[in-house]
Amino acid sequence: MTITMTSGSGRVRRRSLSLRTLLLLLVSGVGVYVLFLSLFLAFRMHPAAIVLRSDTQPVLRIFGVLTERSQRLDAAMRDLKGLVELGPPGYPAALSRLRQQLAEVSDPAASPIYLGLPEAMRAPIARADEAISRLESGVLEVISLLELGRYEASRARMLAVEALSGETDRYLAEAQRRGLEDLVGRESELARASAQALGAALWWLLVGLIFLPLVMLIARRRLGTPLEQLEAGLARVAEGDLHVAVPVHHPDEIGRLAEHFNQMTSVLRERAEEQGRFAAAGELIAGVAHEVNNPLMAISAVAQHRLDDDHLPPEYRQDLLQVLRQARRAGKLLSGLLRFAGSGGQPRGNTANLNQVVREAIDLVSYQFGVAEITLETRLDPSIPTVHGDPARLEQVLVNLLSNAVHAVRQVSPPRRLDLTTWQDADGVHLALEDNGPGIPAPLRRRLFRPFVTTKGRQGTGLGLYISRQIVRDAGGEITASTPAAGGARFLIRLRPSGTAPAVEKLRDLPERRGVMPLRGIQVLVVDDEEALRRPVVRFLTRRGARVLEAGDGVEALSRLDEAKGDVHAILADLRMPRMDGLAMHAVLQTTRPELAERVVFLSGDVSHLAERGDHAVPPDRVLLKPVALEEVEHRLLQVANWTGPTS
Amino acid sequence: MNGSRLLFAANLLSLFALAACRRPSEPAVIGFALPKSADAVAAVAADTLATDRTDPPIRVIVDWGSGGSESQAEAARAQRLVSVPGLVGVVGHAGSRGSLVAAPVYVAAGVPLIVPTATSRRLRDLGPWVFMLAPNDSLEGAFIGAFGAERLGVRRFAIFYVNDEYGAGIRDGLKEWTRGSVASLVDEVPYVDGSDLGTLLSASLARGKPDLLVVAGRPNEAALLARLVSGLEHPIPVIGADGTFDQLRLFRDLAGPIADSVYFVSSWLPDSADAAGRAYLSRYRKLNHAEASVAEAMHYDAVMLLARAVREVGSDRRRIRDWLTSLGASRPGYRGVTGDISFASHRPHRLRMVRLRGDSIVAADQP
Repeated sequence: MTITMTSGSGRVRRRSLSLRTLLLLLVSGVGVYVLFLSLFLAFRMHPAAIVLRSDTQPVLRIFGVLTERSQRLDAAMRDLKGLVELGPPGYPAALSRLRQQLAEVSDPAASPIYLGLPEAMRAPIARADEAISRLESGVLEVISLLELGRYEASRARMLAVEALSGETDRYLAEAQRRGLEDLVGRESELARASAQALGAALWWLLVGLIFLPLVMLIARRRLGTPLEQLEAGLARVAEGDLHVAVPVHHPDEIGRLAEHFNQMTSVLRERAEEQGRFAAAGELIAGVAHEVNNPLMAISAVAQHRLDDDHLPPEYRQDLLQVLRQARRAGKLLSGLLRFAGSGGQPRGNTANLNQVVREAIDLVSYQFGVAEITLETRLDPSIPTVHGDPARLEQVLVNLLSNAVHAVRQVSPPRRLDLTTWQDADGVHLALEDNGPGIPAPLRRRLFRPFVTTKGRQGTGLGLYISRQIVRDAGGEITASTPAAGGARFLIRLRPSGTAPAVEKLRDLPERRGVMPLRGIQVLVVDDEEALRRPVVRFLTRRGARVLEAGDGVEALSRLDEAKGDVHAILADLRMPRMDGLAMHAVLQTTRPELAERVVFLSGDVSHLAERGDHAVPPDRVLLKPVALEEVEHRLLQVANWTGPTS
Repeated sequence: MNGSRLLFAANLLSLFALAACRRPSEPAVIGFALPKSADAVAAVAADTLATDRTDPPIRVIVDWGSGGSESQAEAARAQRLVSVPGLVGVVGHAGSRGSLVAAPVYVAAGVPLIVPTATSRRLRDLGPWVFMLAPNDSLEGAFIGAFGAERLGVRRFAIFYVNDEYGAGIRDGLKEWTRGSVASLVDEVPYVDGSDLGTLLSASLARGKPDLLVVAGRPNEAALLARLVSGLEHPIPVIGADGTFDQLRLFRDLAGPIADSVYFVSSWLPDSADAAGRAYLSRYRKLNHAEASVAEAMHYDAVMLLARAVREVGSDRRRIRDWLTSLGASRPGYRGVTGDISFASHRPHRLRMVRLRGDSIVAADQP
């Protein structure tokens, strides 16, 4: 049931009845069918049955009354005839009884009412009634004659009454015959109506049987098939196939459902591709970071080594200090990027220092502040306790909020301002981020945290806030957004405190220098394939008093260990190396020399691949992320060597 | 064409078409289903309507019946009348039995039927299309009983009644009244045409020793019984129910000098007629050279009532029925020759006990 139309553009467009209308039509059709059949049967059968019943009842009642009157009269006449034949002296008591009987016969309730009678019956019944009345009067007259002792006259009158009785019987018989004819006629009408109704019902059912396949076909085409295809499409999506598209047969409700389904799979496909690109970008960042960290480490190590020279001219010292600061800054940014990129799906714990999370998130996005002339003001309450939640995921939330805020304030002219505040009250630990951007558009406010809602157009996925809310809710908290009266936007995160103790701010200062030769007496094996990095480290450790062995990879390191004279107190190994990387080497040591395996400190430009090597996992506190200060290296080596000083 | 059809055709020729020829509307026809003896009043009604200039014109069609038994004749007459085009209502039929047999025909056809003189209470059971002008037999029986007991001081009633719905109805009304009274119904004698009333009366007097005889029948029977009673050594008063008062001239002729001794139940006292009543009587006298009877006045009122209904609401029979129903309820009663007419459930009865004084009818229930 489709209408084909040609639109103005010349394209053929089919316009179908909506599914609702179609269903309404089908149901109405079936309803009309059933109703018509029922009404037909009712109207064809019911009147005949009603007429038969309603007209038969008064006829039967009247016949009953007339017959009873007639029978009583007959009985009275028999008695009266006997009394007439007996003659004098008369029997007053018997006559009185007969009179009483006749009075009962003429009970007013027994007289006929003609309203319910069939027309053809009225006159015969009235005639019969009149005849019975005449008979009653005749009988009473005979009784009166007997009462007066006029026996001869009573005999003569009795003969006339008997003749009247015969006439009454004839009238009654006539009335009964008419009644019977009428009844038979009505029964015939009922039978005819029944036969007609049966025939018509059969025809109607036949028509229904013809139309039933048509209805089923329509239902199949418009409902069954599209729903099956939709279900199959959903099943394929559930299996991960996002390239499925279901055909849109009709522009009805199911057709629109199919269109929405196709749009949904299309969006999901785009998102998935986007996610894939993001993942690839993350991996690329990790790789690049590793490659950049090594030279950075080398630069900072060389710079630090040169700065240890007391004879260095002041102008060179300043330059080298600047080199060292910039290298460390670059390293810090890279390590943040690596941490952020490598944290997906990998929880860093169940509790978080919110202020720390805020700082680390700021580190990640702070490079944008200067460029965009954004002033960030932070008011972080140092007394807030730790909160429930994975620090890495909470950092993801903060980075997302900060990125959104930066994007928002860029749309307004300077001054651009961000305020970030943490505090605690009876409801929990709170974090508020306010900006002086354009605020949240009114149409988006109610669905801001729904998926695929973005103000960034193609630049945004529309998933950031949706995921952020999931993360905060997973941590038992809540995130809300509002538009302050002064303008801009305000996001408020409430989190559950994990304990009553305030979070201890861990300030990672460089370890204090331990004298001039703190490593004297220690033998250290430095394993790194990057000579540019290995050499400054070796020089630093040597200058700090250590005896240093060198190796370019894990295989060479194991060989060096076998050849080493005396104990090797600590091993500093890069994680990524040719032939045998740091983790493989560590695994061998765990088997062959477990005491040495406990003294390995790893250097890495990328921690992401540690997760991939779960079977050779190493304690995180024994991994130093490049670029790392050489003092930190020294400090960590002393820790693992458990060195307290030369035994002499 | 059988005899009854020929007679009907003849009856149609007796139409009293009184409307002006210029009237364009279909005439509203009032059926007149009463015995031929009622032709005098039909003529008066037609004469009255002839001066009417309302639209639609009103005509009266008279059907005198076609012979046969009473029931057969009335049923056939009703069938003929309901088929007349433009019929808006019927006045009739004669007697309770005839009305009871004919009324279902009108009920089925949706024709208002005004029953002017029949008293059977069973007419009330026939539905909203049937309107009784006369008080029902229950009321009349009670009225007769009360008059006999209170005004005549009698205690033993005997009733002779024609053995049909009319006579049995009066009997039942009287019997019902005596149940709560000091008086009693000592004998009840049904009779029919041809019954030996002398024998029945002798036996009843011997059997019940009544001190009042009530006759619910026709004028000739009442006259005969009155004459028989007057010949007794100790005559007893005779009260004739309304049916015995139908044909006053016949009664006078048959009863002779004892006519004045009989009490009659009447719904109207001609001597107390108002201006409209006097005009009717005058018109009747002029057209028929005779005095109008009470029954004829009621027939006249019934026709005029239907005519008034047509003037008020037109020819729609359902609206006419509703208009009639509303009389005495949502609107005042119709002022007829015989008095106020209403069909409210508790309308006041208009029964009077009357006697003849020469050519006059006088009230017997007045102090």
